[in-house]
Amino acid sequence: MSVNIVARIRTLSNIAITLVIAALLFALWLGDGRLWDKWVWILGGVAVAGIVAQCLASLIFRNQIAAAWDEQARHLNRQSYAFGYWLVMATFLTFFALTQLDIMRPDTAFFFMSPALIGPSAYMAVAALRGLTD
Amino acid sequence: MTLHNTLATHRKAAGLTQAQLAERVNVSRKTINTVENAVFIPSTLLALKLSQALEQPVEVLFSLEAPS
Repeated sequence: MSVNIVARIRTLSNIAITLVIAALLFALWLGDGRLWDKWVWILGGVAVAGIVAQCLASLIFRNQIAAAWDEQARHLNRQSYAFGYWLVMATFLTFFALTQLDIMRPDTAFFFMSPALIGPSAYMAVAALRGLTD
Repeated sequence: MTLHNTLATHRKAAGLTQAQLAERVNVSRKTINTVENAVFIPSTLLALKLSQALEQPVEVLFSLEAPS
């Protein structure tokens, strides 16, 4: 079975960032809204590491780029951005309402809104796990 | 109307695996799999590439109605 390294690293990056955000949310819930300040560095580090890994894989395995980013992958990528857009819109409106109704503090709302930014990564990770892409 | 395809039939008749056909048309094996299972509708360009790779007219590979 052939393995597309570029696509696999893309998927692993998406899964990693999604899991880190999930862990962040769990830590927030456990810590009653308080966070260890190093979380930002972990999150940023994972994101940067994923980008660097994808760039390196694309440089090393140039002959796999076309297959990794074929029309289905590009189609899914566009869908992931649309998903991310609507997820951000929905979460922003929801948490804005909660802050205006004094149900939630603005800083807490901000922390809970930020995971919406990983919508595209989560969408692509799920697509890969469903077998739609490598 | 739905898009039907006989891609798997002609691929197997040509003695190709999904991976081999994918390599010929420069897409991933998963794309060949999802096209065969009618999960993903290929572009005109990809349909023509598949037609060329399998040496079959594109109308034989893809149709708007179920083949009789």
